[in-house]
Amino acid sequence: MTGPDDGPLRGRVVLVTGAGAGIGRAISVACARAGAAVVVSGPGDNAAETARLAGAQGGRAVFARTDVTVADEVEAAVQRAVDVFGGLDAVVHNATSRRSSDVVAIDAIDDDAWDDHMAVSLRGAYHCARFALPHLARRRGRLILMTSPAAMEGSVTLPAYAAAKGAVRGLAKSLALEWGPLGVGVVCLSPLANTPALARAYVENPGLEERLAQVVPLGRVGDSDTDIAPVVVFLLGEGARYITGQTIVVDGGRFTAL
Amino acid sequence: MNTEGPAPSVAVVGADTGAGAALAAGLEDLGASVVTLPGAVLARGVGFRAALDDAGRGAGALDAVVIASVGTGPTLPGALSELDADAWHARVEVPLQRTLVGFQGAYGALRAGGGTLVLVVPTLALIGAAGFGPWAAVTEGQRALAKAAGRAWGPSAVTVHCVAVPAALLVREAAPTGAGVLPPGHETRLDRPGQPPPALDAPDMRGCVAPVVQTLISPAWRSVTGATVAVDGGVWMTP
Repeated sequence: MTGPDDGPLRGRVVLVTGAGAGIGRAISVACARAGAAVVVSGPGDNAAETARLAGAQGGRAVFARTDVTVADEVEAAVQRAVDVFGGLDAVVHNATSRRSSDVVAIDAIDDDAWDDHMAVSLRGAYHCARFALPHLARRRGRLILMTSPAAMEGSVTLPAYAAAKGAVRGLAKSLALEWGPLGVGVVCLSPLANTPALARAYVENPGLEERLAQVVPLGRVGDSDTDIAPVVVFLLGEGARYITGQTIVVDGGRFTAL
Repeated sequence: MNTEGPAPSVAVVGADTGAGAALAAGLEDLGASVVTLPGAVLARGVGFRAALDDAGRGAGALDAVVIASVGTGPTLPGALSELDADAWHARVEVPLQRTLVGFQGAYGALRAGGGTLVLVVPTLALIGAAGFGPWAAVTEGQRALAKAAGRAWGPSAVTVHCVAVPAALLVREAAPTGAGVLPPGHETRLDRPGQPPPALDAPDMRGCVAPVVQTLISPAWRSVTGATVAVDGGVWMTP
Protein backbone atom coordinates (compact mmCIF):
# COMPACT_ATOMS: atom_id res chain seq x y z
CA MET A 1 0.00 0.00 0.00
CA THR A 2 1.36 3.39 -0.95
CA GLY A 3 1.55 6.35 1.39
CA PRO A 4 2.49 10.01 1.10
CA ASP A 5 6.17 9.20 0.66
CA ASP A 6 5.71 6.98 -2.36
CA GLY A 7 2.21 7.87 -3.54
CA PRO A 8 1.27 8.74 -7.11
CA LEU A 9 1.01 12.46 -6.34
CA ARG A 10 4.27 12.73 -4.43
CA GLY A 11 5.87 16.10 -5.03
CA ARG A 12 2.75 17.65 -6.51
CA VAL A 13 0.78 20.59 -5.19
CA VAL A 14 -2.99 20.52 -5.44
CA LEU A 15 -5.53 23.23 -4.67
CA VAL A 16 -9.04 21.99 -3.86
CA THR A 17 -12.00 24.39 -3.65
CA GLY A 18 -15.16 23.65 -1.76
CA ALA A 19 -13.13 21.39 0.48
CA GLY A 20 -15.03 21.88 3.71
CA ALA A 21 -17.13 18.75 3.42
CA GLY A 22 -18.30 15.98 1.18
CA ILE A 23 -16.45 15.30 -2.05
CA GLY A 24 -14.07 18.23 -1.61
CA ARG A 25 -12.97 16.95 1.76
CA ALA A 26 -12.58 13.43 0.42
CA ILE A 27 -10.47 14.66 -2.48
CA SER A 28 -8.25 16.74 -0.22
CA VAL A 29 -7.59 13.85 2.14
CA ALA A 30 -7.01 11.40 -0.70
CA CYS A 31 -4.57 13.75 -2.42
CA ALA A 32 -2.62 14.17 0.80
CA ARG A 33 -2.57 10.44 1.32
CA ALA A 34 -1.28 10.07 -2.24
CA GLY A 35 1.62 12.36 -1.48
CA ALA A 36 0.41 15.75 -2.65
CA ALA A 37 0.78 18.96 -0.75
CA VAL A 38 -2.76 20.30 -0.57
CA VAL A 39 -4.16 23.80 -0.32
CA VAL A 40 -7.55 23.19 1.20
CA SER A 41 -9.83 26.06 0.35
CA GLY A 42 -13.33 26.90 1.41
CA PRO A 43 -15.26 29.83 2.81
CA GLY A 44 -15.79 28.34 6.26
CA ASP A 45 -13.89 26.84 9.18
CA ASN A 46 -14.83 23.32 8.13
CA ALA A 47 -12.17 23.56 5.42
CA ALA A 48 -9.62 24.13 8.16
CA GLU A 49 -10.78 20.88 9.69
CA THR A 50 -10.30 19.22 6.31
CA ALA A 51 -6.74 20.52 6.24
CA ARG A 52 -6.19 18.99 9.66
CA LEU A 53 -7.58 15.66 8.46
CA ALA A 54 -5.43 15.76 5.34
CA GLY A 55 -2.36 16.54 7.40
CA ALA A 56 -3.17 13.61 9.65
CA GLN A 57 -2.68 11.35 6.65
CA GLY A 58 0.99 12.16 6.77
CA GLY A 59 0.79 14.65 3.94
CA ARG A 60 1.12 18.38 3.96
CA ALA A 61 -1.94 20.58 3.90
CA VAL A 62 -2.76 24.21 4.55
CA PHE A 63 -6.08 25.97 4.81
CA ALA A 64 -6.93 28.96 2.62
CA ARG A 65 -10.17 30.69 3.44
CA THR A 66 -11.63 31.29 0.02
CA ASP A 67 -14.87 32.48 -1.46
CA VAL A 68 -14.42 31.40 -5.07
CA THR A 69 -16.81 34.08 -6.29
CA VAL A 70 -14.28 36.72 -5.26
CA ALA A 71 -11.34 37.03 -7.62
CA ASP A 72 -8.88 38.32 -5.04
CA GLU A 73 -9.55 35.40 -2.73
CA VAL A 74 -8.92 32.82 -5.43
CA GLU A 75 -5.78 34.63 -6.47
CA ALA A 76 -4.64 34.57 -2.84
CA ALA A 77 -5.32 30.85 -2.54
CA VAL A 78 -3.24 30.19 -5.64
CA GLN A 79 -0.48 32.39 -4.28
CA ARG A 80 -0.60 30.50 -1.00
CA ALA A 81 0.21 27.32 -2.87
CA VAL A 82 3.19 29.02 -4.44
CA ASP A 83 4.37 30.64 -1.23
CA VAL A 84 4.01 27.58 0.99
CA PHE A 85 4.72 24.72 -1.40
CA GLY A 86 6.69 26.37 -4.19
CA GLY A 87 4.25 26.04 -7.06
CA LEU A 88 0.98 24.58 -8.22
CA ASP A 89 0.38 21.42 -10.23
CA ALA A 90 -3.37 21.09 -10.15
CA VAL A 91 -6.63 22.73 -9.21
CA VAL A 92 -9.77 20.80 -8.40
CA HIS A 93 -12.70 23.20 -8.49
CA ASN A 94 -15.33 21.44 -6.45
CA ALA A 95 -17.13 24.39 -4.88
CA THR A 96 -20.78 24.74 -5.75
CA SER A 97 -23.62 26.95 -4.60
CA ARG A 98 -25.10 26.26 -1.20
CA ARG A 99 -28.41 26.38 -3.07
CA SER A 100 -27.40 23.53 -5.34
CA SER A 101 -29.93 21.16 -3.80
CA ASP A 102 -32.79 23.68 -3.58
CA VAL A 103 -35.72 22.36 -5.55
CA VAL A 104 -37.20 25.04 -7.79
CA ALA A 105 -39.02 25.13 -11.11
CA ILE A 106 -37.47 27.07 -13.99
CA ASP A 107 -40.21 29.67 -14.03
CA ALA A 108 -39.73 30.25 -10.30
CA ILE A 109 -35.96 30.81 -10.35
CA ASP A 110 -35.24 34.31 -9.09
CA ASP A 111 -32.27 36.43 -10.03
CA ASP A 112 -30.47 35.90 -6.73
CA ALA A 113 -30.62 32.12 -6.93
CA TRP A 114 -29.55 32.08 -10.57
CA ASP A 115 -26.66 34.42 -9.94
CA ASP A 116 -25.49 32.40 -6.96
CA HIS A 117 -25.34 29.19 -8.98
CA MET A 118 -23.42 30.91 -11.74
CA ALA A 119 -21.11 32.73 -9.36
CA VAL A 120 -19.88 29.70 -7.44
CA SER A 121 -19.71 26.96 -10.06
CA LEU A 122 -18.99 28.95 -13.19
CA ARG A 123 -17.37 32.23 -12.17
CA GLY A 124 -15.42 30.25 -9.60
CA ALA A 125 -14.13 28.04 -12.41
CA TYR A 126 -13.14 31.12 -14.37
CA HIS A 127 -11.26 32.53 -11.38
CA CYS A 128 -9.47 29.25 -10.78
CA ALA A 129 -8.52 28.94 -14.43
CA ARG A 130 -7.40 32.51 -14.82
CA PHE A 131 -5.17 32.68 -11.77
CA ALA A 132 -3.83 29.14 -11.87
CA LEU A 133 -2.86 29.00 -15.54
CA PRO A 134 0.58 30.63 -15.27
CA HIS A 135 1.53 28.12 -12.58
CA LEU A 136 -0.09 25.12 -14.23
CA ALA A 137 1.67 25.92 -17.49
CA ARG A 138 5.05 25.82 -15.78
CA ARG A 139 4.41 22.28 -14.55
CA ARG A 140 2.21 20.87 -17.31
CA GLY A 141 -0.54 20.73 -14.73
CA ARG A 142 -4.21 19.83 -14.56
CA LEU A 143 -7.50 21.57 -13.98
CA ILE A 144 -10.41 19.44 -12.86
CA LEU A 145 -13.85 21.01 -12.85
CA MET A 146 -16.64 19.18 -11.10
CA THR A 147 -19.83 18.88 -13.08
CA SER A 148 -22.98 16.83 -12.64
CA PRO A 149 -25.24 14.38 -14.42
CA ALA A 150 -27.74 17.23 -14.44
CA ALA A 151 -25.45 19.05 -16.86
CA MET A 152 -25.77 16.29 -19.42
CA GLU A 153 -29.37 15.20 -19.04
CA GLY A 154 -31.09 18.20 -17.46
CA SER A 155 -32.95 18.23 -14.18
CA VAL A 156 -36.57 19.03 -13.47
CA THR A 157 -35.85 19.90 -9.87
CA LEU A 158 -32.44 21.57 -10.17
CA PRO A 159 -32.51 23.53 -13.44
CA ALA A 160 -30.19 26.37 -12.38
CA TYR A 161 -27.70 23.86 -11.05
CA ALA A 162 -27.95 21.96 -14.32
CA ALA A 163 -27.30 25.11 -16.35
CA ALA A 164 -24.31 26.13 -14.25
CA LYS A 165 -22.77 22.69 -14.42
CA GLY A 166 -23.48 22.47 -18.14
CA ALA A 167 -21.71 25.77 -18.67
CA VAL A 168 -18.74 24.40 -16.76
CA ARG A 169 -18.53 21.54 -19.25
CA GLY A 170 -18.50 23.95 -22.16
CA LEU A 171 -15.75 25.95 -20.54
CA ALA A 172 -13.71 22.83 -19.80
CA LYS A 173 -13.87 21.55 -23.37
CA SER A 174 -12.68 24.86 -24.76
CA LEU A 175 -9.96 25.27 -22.16
CA ALA A 176 -8.70 21.79 -22.94
CA LEU A 177 -8.17 22.90 -26.53
CA GLU A 178 -6.81 26.29 -25.56
CA TRP A 179 -4.34 24.94 -23.03
CA GLY A 180 -3.36 21.73 -24.76
CA PRO A 181 -0.37 23.35 -26.47
CA LEU A 182 0.80 24.42 -23.02
CA GLY A 183 0.65 20.84 -21.80
CA VAL A 184 -2.13 21.60 -19.35
CA GLY A 185 -4.98 19.11 -19.15
CA VAL A 186 -8.56 20.06 -18.35
CA VAL A 187 -11.11 17.48 -17.36
CA CYS A 188 -14.62 17.49 -15.96
CA LEU A 189 -15.70 14.91 -13.45
CA SER A 190 -19.35 14.05 -12.96
CA PRO A 191 -19.80 12.23 -9.66
CA LEU A 192 -22.74 10.57 -8.02
CA ALA A 193 -22.02 10.30 -4.33
CA ASN A 194 -23.63 10.75 -0.98
CA THR A 195 -22.72 14.26 0.10
CA PRO A 196 -24.18 16.84 2.47
CA ALA A 197 -25.86 18.45 -0.56
CA LEU A 198 -27.40 15.17 -1.62
CA ALA A 199 -28.49 14.53 1.96
CA ARG A 200 -30.39 17.82 1.81
CA ALA A 201 -31.89 16.76 -1.51
CA TYR A 202 -33.06 13.53 0.10
CA VAL A 203 -34.91 15.59 2.70
CA GLU A 204 -36.50 17.83 0.08
CA ASN A 205 -37.30 14.99 -2.25
CA PRO A 206 -38.52 11.95 -0.32
CA GLY A 207 -37.87 8.73 -2.12
CA LEU A 208 -34.96 10.14 -4.08
CA GLU A 209 -32.36 7.98 -2.38
CA GLU A 210 -34.28 4.80 -3.10
CA ARG A 211 -34.94 5.82 -6.69
CA LEU A 212 -31.31 6.65 -7.26
CA ALA A 213 -30.17 3.30 -5.96
CA GLN A 214 -32.63 1.59 -8.30
CA VAL A 215 -31.31 3.31 -11.40
CA VAL A 216 -27.63 2.79 -10.67
CA PRO A 217 -26.53 -0.46 -12.26
CA LEU A 218 -24.03 -1.00 -9.49
CA GLY A 219 -26.91 -0.72 -7.07
CA ARG A 220 -25.88 2.09 -4.78
CA VAL A 221 -25.03 5.77 -4.59
CA GLY A 222 -21.29 6.28 -4.52
CA ASP A 223 -19.07 7.08 -1.59
CA SER A 224 -16.93 10.22 -1.74
CA ASP A 225 -13.94 8.61 -0.08
CA THR A 226 -13.86 5.26 -1.79
CA ASP A 227 -15.56 5.87 -5.15
CA ILE A 228 -14.89 9.48 -6.17
CA ALA A 229 -11.65 10.66 -4.60
CA PRO A 230 -9.54 7.78 -5.97
CA VAL A 231 -10.61 8.71 -9.51
CA VAL A 232 -9.53 12.30 -8.92
CA VAL A 233 -6.17 11.06 -7.65
CA PHE A 234 -5.80 9.06 -10.84
CA LEU A 235 -6.74 12.05 -13.01
CA LEU A 236 -4.11 14.15 -11.27
CA GLY A 237 -1.46 11.48 -11.66
CA GLU A 238 0.95 10.57 -14.41
CA GLY A 239 -1.26 7.83 -15.78
CA ALA A 240 -3.87 10.35 -16.89
CA ARG A 241 -1.53 12.68 -18.75
CA TYR A 242 -3.13 11.91 -22.14
CA ILE A 243 -6.68 12.59 -20.96
CA THR A 244 -8.06 16.06 -21.59
CA GLY A 245 -11.32 17.66 -22.66
CA GLN A 246 -13.38 14.77 -21.35
CA THR A 247 -16.18 14.43 -18.86
CA ILE A 248 -15.39 11.48 -16.65
CA VAL A 249 -18.64 10.08 -15.31
CA VAL A 250 -18.27 8.31 -11.95
CA ASP A 251 -21.81 7.27 -11.15
CA GLY A 252 -22.01 3.49 -10.96
CA GLY A 253 -23.13 3.30 -14.58
CA ARG A 254 -26.28 5.36 -14.24
CA PHE A 255 -25.57 7.69 -17.17
CA THR A 256 -24.44 5.89 -20.29
CA ALA A 257 -25.56 8.21 -23.06
CA LEU A 258 -22.29 9.95 -23.97
CA MET B 1 -49.17 24.21 -30.45
CA ASN B 2 -49.42 24.34 -34.18
CA THR B 3 -51.86 21.61 -35.17
CA GLU B 4 -53.20 23.03 -38.39
CA GLY B 5 -50.20 22.47 -40.60
CA PRO B 6 -48.05 24.98 -42.36
CA ALA B 7 -48.75 28.37 -40.80
CA PRO B 8 -47.40 28.51 -37.26
CA SER B 9 -47.11 31.76 -35.38
CA VAL B 10 -43.51 32.25 -34.34
CA ALA B 11 -41.60 34.88 -32.38
CA VAL B 12 -37.95 35.09 -33.43
CA VAL B 13 -35.79 36.71 -30.76
CA GLY B 14 -32.43 38.12 -31.76
CA ALA B 15 -33.68 39.06 -35.19
CA ASP B 16 -31.52 42.18 -35.02
CA THR B 17 -28.58 39.94 -35.92
CA GLY B 18 -28.02 38.80 -39.45
CA ALA B 19 -28.48 35.18 -38.43
CA GLY B 20 -31.75 35.91 -36.64
CA ALA B 21 -33.05 38.00 -39.52
CA ALA B 22 -32.17 35.30 -42.02
CA LEU B 23 -33.87 32.69 -39.89
CA ALA B 24 -37.00 34.84 -39.59
CA ALA B 25 -37.02 35.38 -43.34
CA GLY B 26 -36.64 31.67 -43.91
CA LEU B 27 -39.58 30.87 -41.66
CA GLU B 28 -41.68 33.45 -43.49
CA ASP B 29 -40.62 31.84 -46.77
CA LEU B 30 -42.14 28.63 -45.42
CA GLY B 31 -45.40 30.33 -44.56
CA ALA B 32 -44.98 31.03 -40.87
CA SER B 33 -46.42 34.14 -39.31
CA VAL B 34 -43.32 35.69 -37.80
CA VAL B 35 -42.86 38.42 -35.22
CA THR B 36 -39.30 39.60 -34.74
CA LEU B 37 -37.78 40.91 -31.53
CA PRO B 38 -34.29 42.22 -30.79
CA GLY B 39 -32.00 40.30 -28.48
CA ALA B 40 -32.00 43.19 -26.04
CA VAL B 41 -35.57 42.36 -25.09
CA LEU B 42 -34.12 39.48 -23.07
CA ALA B 43 -32.36 41.82 -20.66
CA ARG B 44 -33.55 41.63 -17.10
CA GLY B 45 -36.37 44.00 -16.35
CA VAL B 46 -37.14 44.83 -19.95
CA GLY B 47 -40.32 42.80 -20.06
CA PHE B 48 -39.76 39.94 -22.43
CA ARG B 49 -42.96 38.22 -21.39
CA ALA B 50 -44.98 41.35 -22.11
CA ALA B 51 -43.28 41.62 -25.49
CA LEU B 52 -44.33 38.08 -26.28
CA ASP B 53 -47.87 38.82 -25.18
CA ASP B 54 -47.89 41.79 -27.55
CA ALA B 55 -46.53 39.56 -30.29
CA GLY B 56 -49.25 37.04 -29.61
CA ARG B 57 -51.92 39.69 -29.88
CA GLY B 58 -50.53 40.80 -33.21
CA ALA B 59 -49.87 37.45 -34.81
CA GLY B 60 -52.25 35.14 -33.04
CA ALA B 61 -51.39 32.80 -30.18
CA LEU B 62 -47.76 31.86 -30.46
CA ASP B 63 -46.86 28.34 -31.46
CA ALA B 64 -43.17 28.79 -30.98
CA VAL B 65 -40.47 31.06 -29.65
CA VAL B 66 -37.11 30.88 -31.40
CA ILE B 67 -34.13 32.44 -29.65
CA ALA B 68 -31.60 33.05 -32.39
CA SER B 69 -29.27 35.16 -30.29
CA VAL B 70 -28.87 36.32 -26.71
CA GLY B 71 -26.38 38.95 -27.82
CA THR B 72 -23.05 38.98 -29.57
CA GLY B 73 -20.96 39.18 -26.40
CA PRO B 74 -20.22 35.45 -26.20
CA THR B 75 -19.05 35.34 -29.80
CA LEU B 76 -16.05 37.57 -29.19
CA PRO B 77 -12.74 35.70 -29.22
CA GLY B 78 -10.02 35.78 -26.64
CA ALA B 79 -7.95 33.56 -24.39
CA LEU B 80 -9.62 33.02 -21.05
CA SER B 81 -6.53 34.06 -19.15
CA GLU B 82 -6.77 37.47 -20.81
CA LEU B 83 -10.40 37.95 -19.98
CA ASP B 84 -10.98 40.44 -17.17
CA ALA B 85 -13.91 40.29 -14.77
CA ASP B 86 -16.03 42.78 -16.68
CA ALA B 87 -15.54 40.91 -19.93
CA TRP B 88 -16.39 37.61 -18.26
CA HIS B 89 -19.59 39.11 -16.89
CA ALA B 90 -20.58 40.58 -20.24
CA ARG B 91 -19.70 37.52 -22.31
CA VAL B 92 -20.88 34.75 -20.01
CA GLU B 93 -23.06 35.78 -17.10
CA VAL B 94 -25.22 38.32 -18.90
CA PRO B 95 -26.00 35.98 -21.82
CA LEU B 96 -26.92 33.25 -19.35
CA GLN B 97 -29.16 35.68 -17.47
CA ARG B 98 -30.81 36.50 -20.77
CA THR B 99 -31.24 32.82 -21.44
CA LEU B 100 -33.17 32.36 -18.23
CA VAL B 101 -35.34 35.37 -19.06
CA GLY B 102 -35.96 33.83 -22.47
CA PHE B 103 -36.97 30.49 -21.03
CA GLN B 104 -39.23 31.97 -18.40
CA GLY B 105 -40.91 34.30 -20.86
CA ALA B 106 -41.36 31.63 -23.49
CA TYR B 107 -42.91 29.23 -21.02
CA GLY B 108 -45.30 31.91 -19.84
CA ALA B 109 -46.37 32.55 -23.41
CA LEU B 110 -46.66 28.91 -24.48
CA ARG B 111 -47.86 27.00 -21.45
CA ALA B 112 -51.57 27.62 -21.96
CA GLY B 113 -51.75 26.12 -25.42
CA GLY B 114 -48.50 24.23 -25.76
CA GLY B 115 -45.75 25.00 -28.21
CA THR B 116 -42.03 24.87 -28.78
CA LEU B 117 -38.98 26.82 -27.67
CA VAL B 118 -36.01 26.56 -30.01
CA LEU B 119 -32.52 27.89 -29.30
CA VAL B 120 -30.01 28.39 -32.06
CA VAL B 121 -26.54 27.56 -30.75
CA PRO B 122 -23.07 27.05 -32.24
CA THR B 123 -21.75 23.56 -32.78
CA LEU B 124 -18.50 24.66 -31.19
CA ALA B 125 -20.07 24.12 -27.79
CA LEU B 126 -20.46 20.43 -28.51
CA ILE B 127 -16.76 19.99 -29.00
CA GLY B 128 -15.09 23.09 -27.56
CA ALA B 129 -13.07 25.79 -29.30
CA ALA B 130 -9.84 27.42 -28.22
CA GLY B 131 -10.37 31.12 -27.70
CA PHE B 132 -14.11 30.75 -27.40
CA GLY B 133 -14.52 29.43 -23.86
CA PRO B 134 -17.20 31.97 -23.00
CA TRP B 135 -19.34 31.06 -25.98
CA ALA B 136 -19.01 27.35 -25.29
CA ALA B 137 -19.83 27.90 -21.62
CA VAL B 138 -22.95 29.90 -22.43
CA THR B 139 -24.12 27.36 -24.96
CA GLU B 140 -23.58 24.31 -22.81
CA GLY B 141 -25.44 26.09 -20.04
CA GLN B 142 -28.25 26.73 -22.48
CA ARG B 143 -28.34 23.13 -23.62
CA ALA B 144 -28.48 21.85 -20.06
CA LEU B 145 -31.30 24.25 -19.27
CA ALA B 146 -33.10 23.16 -22.44
CA LYS B 147 -32.99 19.56 -21.28
CA ALA B 148 -34.22 20.56 -17.84
CA ALA B 149 -37.05 22.53 -19.40
CA GLY B 150 -37.88 19.75 -21.81
CA ARG B 151 -38.34 17.40 -18.89
CA ALA B 152 -40.29 19.87 -16.80
CA TRP B 153 -42.61 21.30 -19.43
CA GLY B 154 -43.66 18.13 -21.17
CA PRO B 155 -46.92 17.91 -19.22
CA SER B 156 -47.81 21.36 -20.59
CA ALA B 157 -47.07 20.16 -24.13
CA VAL B 158 -44.22 22.63 -24.34
CA THR B 159 -41.19 21.14 -26.06
CA VAL B 160 -37.68 22.54 -26.12
CA HIS B 161 -34.93 21.99 -28.67
CA CYS B 162 -31.53 23.31 -29.63
CA VAL B 163 -30.44 23.67 -33.22
CA ALA B 164 -26.67 23.64 -33.48
CA VAL B 165 -25.20 25.38 -36.50
CA PRO B 166 -21.63 26.15 -37.50
CA ALA B 167 -20.32 28.93 -35.30
CA ALA B 168 -18.90 30.67 -38.33
CA LEU B 169 -22.41 30.96 -39.69
CA LEU B 170 -23.57 32.80 -36.60
CA VAL B 171 -20.52 35.02 -36.49
CA ARG B 172 -20.69 35.83 -40.17
CA GLU B 173 -24.31 36.81 -39.81
CA ALA B 174 -24.03 38.36 -36.35
CA ALA B 175 -24.33 41.92 -37.57
CA PRO B 176 -27.32 43.27 -39.49
CA THR B 177 -25.09 44.21 -42.37
CA GLY B 178 -23.78 40.69 -42.68
CA ALA B 179 -20.36 41.84 -41.60
CA GLY B 180 -18.60 39.56 -39.16
CA VAL B 181 -17.90 40.64 -35.62
CA LEU B 182 -14.60 38.82 -35.40
CA PRO B 183 -11.24 40.40 -36.10
CA PRO B 184 -9.62 39.11 -39.28
CA GLY B 185 -8.25 35.63 -38.92
CA HIS B 186 -10.32 34.53 -35.95
CA GLU B 187 -13.02 32.91 -38.00
CA THR B 188 -10.60 30.22 -39.01
CA ARG B 189 -10.31 29.15 -35.37
CA LEU B 190 -13.96 28.28 -35.16
CA ASP B 191 -15.20 24.74 -35.51
CA ARG B 192 -11.81 23.10 -35.06
CA PRO B 193 -9.93 23.68 -38.31
CA GLY B 194 -8.30 20.61 -39.76
CA GLN B 195 -11.22 18.31 -39.18
CA PRO B 196 -12.76 16.37 -42.07
CA PRO B 197 -14.87 18.53 -44.39
CA PRO B 198 -18.64 18.50 -44.06
CA ALA B 199 -20.31 15.47 -45.58
CA LEU B 200 -22.87 17.80 -47.15
CA ASP B 201 -22.84 21.34 -48.45
CA ALA B 202 -22.37 23.99 -45.78
CA PRO B 203 -25.78 25.16 -44.51
CA ASP B 204 -27.15 28.67 -44.50
CA MET B 205 -29.69 30.10 -42.09
CA ARG B 206 -32.49 31.00 -44.48
CA GLY B 207 -32.50 28.00 -46.77
CA CYS B 208 -31.22 25.22 -44.51
CA VAL B 209 -31.68 26.03 -40.85
CA ALA B 210 -35.13 27.60 -41.11
CA PRO B 211 -36.74 24.45 -42.57
CA VAL B 212 -35.32 22.40 -39.72
CA VAL B 213 -36.74 24.84 -37.18
CA GLN B 214 -40.05 24.77 -39.01
CA THR B 215 -40.05 20.99 -38.70
CA LEU B 216 -39.14 21.02 -35.02
CA ILE B 217 -42.11 23.23 -34.19
CA SER B 218 -44.51 21.08 -36.19
CA PRO B 219 -46.79 18.43 -34.70
CA ALA B 220 -44.61 15.73 -36.22
CA TRP B 221 -42.07 16.40 -33.46
CA ARG B 222 -44.50 16.45 -30.57
CA SER B 223 -42.94 13.33 -29.06
CA VAL B 224 -39.45 14.77 -29.08
CA THR B 225 -38.05 17.22 -26.59
CA GLY B 226 -34.71 18.22 -25.13
CA ALA B 227 -32.92 17.36 -28.35
CA THR B 228 -29.99 19.08 -29.99
CA VAL B 229 -30.16 18.82 -33.76
CA ALA B 230 -26.91 19.63 -35.51
CA VAL B 231 -27.45 21.39 -38.83
CA ASP B 232 -23.80 21.51 -39.79
CA GLY B 233 -23.64 19.59 -43.03
CA GLY B 234 -22.45 16.49 -41.23
CA VAL B 235 -19.22 17.67 -39.63
CA TRP B 236 -19.34 16.42 -36.09
CA MET B 237 -21.92 13.64 -36.02
CA THR B 238 -21.83 13.77 -32.23
CA PRO B 239 -23.32 10.95 -30.20
